[in-house]
Amino acid sequence: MNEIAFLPIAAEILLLGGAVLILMAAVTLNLGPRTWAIIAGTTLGLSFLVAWVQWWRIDDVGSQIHYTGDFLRTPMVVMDYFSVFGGGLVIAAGGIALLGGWRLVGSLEKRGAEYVALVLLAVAGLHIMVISANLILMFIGLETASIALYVVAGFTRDRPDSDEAAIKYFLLGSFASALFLYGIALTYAATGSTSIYGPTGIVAFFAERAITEPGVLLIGIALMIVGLGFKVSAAPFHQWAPDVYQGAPGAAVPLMASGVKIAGFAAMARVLTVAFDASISDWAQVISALAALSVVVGTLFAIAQSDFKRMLAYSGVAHAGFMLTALVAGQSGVPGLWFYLGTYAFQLIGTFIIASIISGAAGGASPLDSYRGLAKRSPVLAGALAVLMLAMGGIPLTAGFVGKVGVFAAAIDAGYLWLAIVGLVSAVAGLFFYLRLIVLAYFNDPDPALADEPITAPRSSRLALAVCVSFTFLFGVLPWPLLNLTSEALPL
Amino acid sequence: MNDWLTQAENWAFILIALPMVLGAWRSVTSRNVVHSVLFLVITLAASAALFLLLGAEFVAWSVVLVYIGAVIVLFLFGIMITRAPLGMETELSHSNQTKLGAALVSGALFALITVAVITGFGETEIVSNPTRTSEIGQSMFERFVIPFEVVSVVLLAALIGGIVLARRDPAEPGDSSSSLGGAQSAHVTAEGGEA
Repeated sequence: MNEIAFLPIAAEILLLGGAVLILMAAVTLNLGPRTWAIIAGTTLGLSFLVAWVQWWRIDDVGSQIHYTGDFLRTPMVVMDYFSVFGGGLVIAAGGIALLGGWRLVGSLEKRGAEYVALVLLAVAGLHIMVISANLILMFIGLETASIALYVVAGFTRDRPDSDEAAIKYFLLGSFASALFLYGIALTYAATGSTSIYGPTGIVAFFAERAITEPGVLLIGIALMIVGLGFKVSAAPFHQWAPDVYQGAPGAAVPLMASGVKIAGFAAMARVLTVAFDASISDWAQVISALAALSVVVGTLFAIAQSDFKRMLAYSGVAHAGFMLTALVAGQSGVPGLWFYLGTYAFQLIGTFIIASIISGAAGGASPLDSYRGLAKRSPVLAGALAVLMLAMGGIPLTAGFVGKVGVFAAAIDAGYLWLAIVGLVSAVAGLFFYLRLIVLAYFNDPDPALADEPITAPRSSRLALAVCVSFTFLFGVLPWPLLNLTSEALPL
Repeated sequence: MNDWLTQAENWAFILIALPMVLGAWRSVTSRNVVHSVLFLVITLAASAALFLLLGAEFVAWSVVLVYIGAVIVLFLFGIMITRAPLGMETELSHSNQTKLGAALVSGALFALITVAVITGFGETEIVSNPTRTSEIGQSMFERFVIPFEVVSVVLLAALIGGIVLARRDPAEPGDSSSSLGGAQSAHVTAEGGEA
């Protein structure tokens, strides 16, 4: 008989329970933000602990595929180093992002509980994307996270651009989800399975026979790449990102930007490097073209921006391109991808926390002029901004440099020297807009209207920011612990 | 042809298909919105009966529950809540151009489906192989138990989101959030859309 294993899905159960508990506490017991914080913190902390337990468990008994048993045909959940590392990363990013934006919860008053609950549900959905061994489950996880985040984008209803962000995210995101689902359907038509593993899974299908007419399969793979490309905002599917990041409540953007990227790239790595490993010669060219386009488009458009959040969105497109660069190497590029993803997620969270401190937890636009003379208004914040900008630009002694080295090395090893050169040139060009912020903050005088206005950051934001900055600096100087971890975090 | 008429299931098909076509025709041509919706019920019920005829009882009852039970009620609620005129609609006279366009689109769709089905299956006889609801339930709660449970999480997120976005807060203090938005909120509209 089939036993239900709870360890692989323990994080989801905890997160779902936490979300429901918070709603109950707010509605029936009338408890305030302090209780929500305790519940959310406990839930996320326990879920992160679960990741460690899972890691030890794999050390003992090896990677496992779950929910197979009698229904061997459709394994659903896989517990390998890849999914544990990615899951832990999603939970950590979600926790830090929620902590950094906690000020928003207070300002939302009664609706704060729903916000926290939706964030927990989004994290659960992203976690499912990372651990799923079945394309259907992957899609449902994607939908869970997407729906929760569409709502989060429109949480501040008194600002019209927040509505615009939500509706744009919803329409384009739904379109992307539909494309992804259509890709799954065509993959099923070509291979006869939606499961990646198992005796009748996609991997086994490719091991047994060669496809002579790959038309349907190739369209399926292409549609899945497009769908996930939307979610990770890779060019040319990135148009939603600047408007959404700018319009959504400032303190909610860290999770939207980093969490979806982590889970989207994890899903992409699992689908491409495991399920379609056999046809790597087909998709690697597409991925390399997307990578080059993302890097160039993201860098060029970021230079032209006058708003910090829009600039970060376009630089996020470029960073998505760097991560795709690692993916062209197939499974041997996964460690590089993980290191880049793990460090970039926290840089992104940190910068968006700074943006939400400067322009308000619920605020939208964050014009570059408001960062003028930041060093005089708040030296600590300016210092944090400088470290994060240097890391995003890829300056040595920050985690960004190590990440870029790993990504380019993977691409060169795979024979994509031209892609590494394109990436390198763009990275140098990208330094312009990262350094421009440092120049603005340190060598300019603040706007006289803002000069006397003190910058107040709540303790929660400062704590989250400190974590992000110290991560970035620590893994830049001593990258080996994380490098060892990522080199183990390979998919089954 | 004579052979075709002697089989009982073909008579059942005719008995189901005729009201179905009639209902579809009337739901498009009716000038009363509520009547249109009720004619749609006939069409959907007939399609459920067709599924029963094919041995797909689960799909048939899903159509009854989801479409007739929920979607039609939603339609009626929608008509009620938007305060659309309930009686005869006299101003709802489409120009010939729209009629032509609609006829073209539906005709093309019909032709596409017909060609696809005929080229796809042609003369192959499809053996009716009834799928029992219990088998579907079994696979749903064994093989697909995790996705099944996670779908309920999707619904929960959608439910919370719908309530959050639609609810009007009791005495929402409109100024608290704008003060948090800070001095920058004025720039919001100006920054709008470039790129």
